[in-house]
Amino acid sequence: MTTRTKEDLVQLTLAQAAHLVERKEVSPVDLVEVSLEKIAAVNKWLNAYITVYEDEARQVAKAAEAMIVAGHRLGPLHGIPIGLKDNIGLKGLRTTAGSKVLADWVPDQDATVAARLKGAGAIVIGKTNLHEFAWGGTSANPHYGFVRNPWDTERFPAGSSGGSGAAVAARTCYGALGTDTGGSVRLPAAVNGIAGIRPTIGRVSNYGVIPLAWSMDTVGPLTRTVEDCAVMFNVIAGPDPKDNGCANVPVEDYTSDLKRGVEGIRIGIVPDYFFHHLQPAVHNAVREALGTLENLGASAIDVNVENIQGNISAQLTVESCEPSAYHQRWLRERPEAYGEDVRLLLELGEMHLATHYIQAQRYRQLLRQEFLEAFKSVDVFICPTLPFTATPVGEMSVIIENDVEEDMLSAIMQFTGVPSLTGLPSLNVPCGYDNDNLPIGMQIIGRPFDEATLFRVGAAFQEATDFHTRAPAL
Amino acid sequence: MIERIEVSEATVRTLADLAGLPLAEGREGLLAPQLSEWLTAANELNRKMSEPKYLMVTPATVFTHPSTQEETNDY
Repeated sequence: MTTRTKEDLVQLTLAQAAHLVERKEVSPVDLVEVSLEKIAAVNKWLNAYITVYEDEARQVAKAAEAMIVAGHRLGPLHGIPIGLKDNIGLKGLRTTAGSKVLADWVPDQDATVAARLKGAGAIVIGKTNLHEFAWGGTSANPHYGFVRNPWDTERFPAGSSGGSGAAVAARTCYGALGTDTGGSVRLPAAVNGIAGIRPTIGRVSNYGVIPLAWSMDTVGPLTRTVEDCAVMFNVIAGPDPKDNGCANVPVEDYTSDLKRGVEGIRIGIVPDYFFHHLQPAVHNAVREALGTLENLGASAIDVNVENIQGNISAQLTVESCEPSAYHQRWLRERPEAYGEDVRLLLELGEMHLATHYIQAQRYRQLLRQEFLEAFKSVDVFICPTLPFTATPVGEMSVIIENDVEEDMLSAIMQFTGVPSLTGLPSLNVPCGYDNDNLPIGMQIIGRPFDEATLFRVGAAFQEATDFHTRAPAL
Repeated sequence: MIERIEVSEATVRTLADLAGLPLAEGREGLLAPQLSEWLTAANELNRKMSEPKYLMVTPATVFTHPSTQEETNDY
């Protein structure tokens, strides 16, 4: 079916691979084989996967090949190998959430997002590693191994969807799903040099996904390009009667505006916050990215968001209290089953007062209203995704400036917390590399349910730059 | 600016008892420094959200209705 080399196949984007499968120029069997070979070659270094479905993926690939030869294409992901974060349920297959607590848990239903991917023809090639129960930003998993960054395996891949980020960047699959509560899709996307979107709360179903913090949890794709991200998003977005939190809002074709450019797009900047307290390389890369977009016809506008300070505390309060409620029984019955860092966070979450939690939830409304007001004069906001590049594996603190050590958790969510608290969609796009060749990402934040504009801006940036075409040398 | 709270190990033990959390021995010392940071910041947020101009702000955890949804979509 194909005369392309294995390396040619590995380097295809998701959209390219899907197109070639549709044209019968590439077989799903070959895509699965090159992906499995790549996993076999690199997973021992990366720990990106907890479970790999070798036999199942090969069987599904053969069926997918037969179907496409017979002229039947299931959907836009027909025959494409995809990774799923291991807190997303798959019927009949263990779903660990990266934990010992659920090490043997086998769901009896697919998560809605998994069912939609499979319905569109995707082949789930494996379950990706994560920070235990998604409660942390490093993916240093004590039960299934620390996930490592393919750009430098001595560095972390961020998290909590670190396995999904590393798996995609290392070309072991063409896309992966992650979950994002406080930044867990965008952070690994940024430090692994790939695209990743946190959707508007309610845009994508959470049904069948193990929760972290119910009021902020979302599911989003991580992919090599913005176009790939839009293709996957088309499949998973939309109302779900099984999830009461899922909004009954029509789904657009998120690929339709990818070539529209950014002429006339107004980009909001909050200079006192979004360009404050970050490493110089990150500052410069995001500022240069803004310049690129201005050269393409966008305009940058300084915006004041009066109450943006305080968002980290609100996030820590909500994101610690809600998981502690979910884990209350296990924490009492099997505290030793948790890794030390997650156990500590769950115990801390029991020690806030109710008024702290309620004030944090009120703050979220306040901040959201301020952003919605600001969106009357801008179309998107742009800021760094995180204030530093990948840190050494296992570090619990980070130095951003002035030799001051800071707690990793608070530092890492400095910029991702705003969309998480406000429910706004946010797309990470690679925008540079530091002196150690470590990727830098920027966030494009949009209006509720306006993911199409994020993809539009991100695609225009990728049309003008080549950061997304670079691959780690593994 | 709210003064920094120093949570003692004894306070951690009391909070755990109040929550019905059987805290293993020795964990108070691990929790106290982080809890001091977090509660200081949380009290600062309490102060902000108690300002008279924000008294009408409702928590994010309310039931939503179709009309709210439509209004949100205007943006």
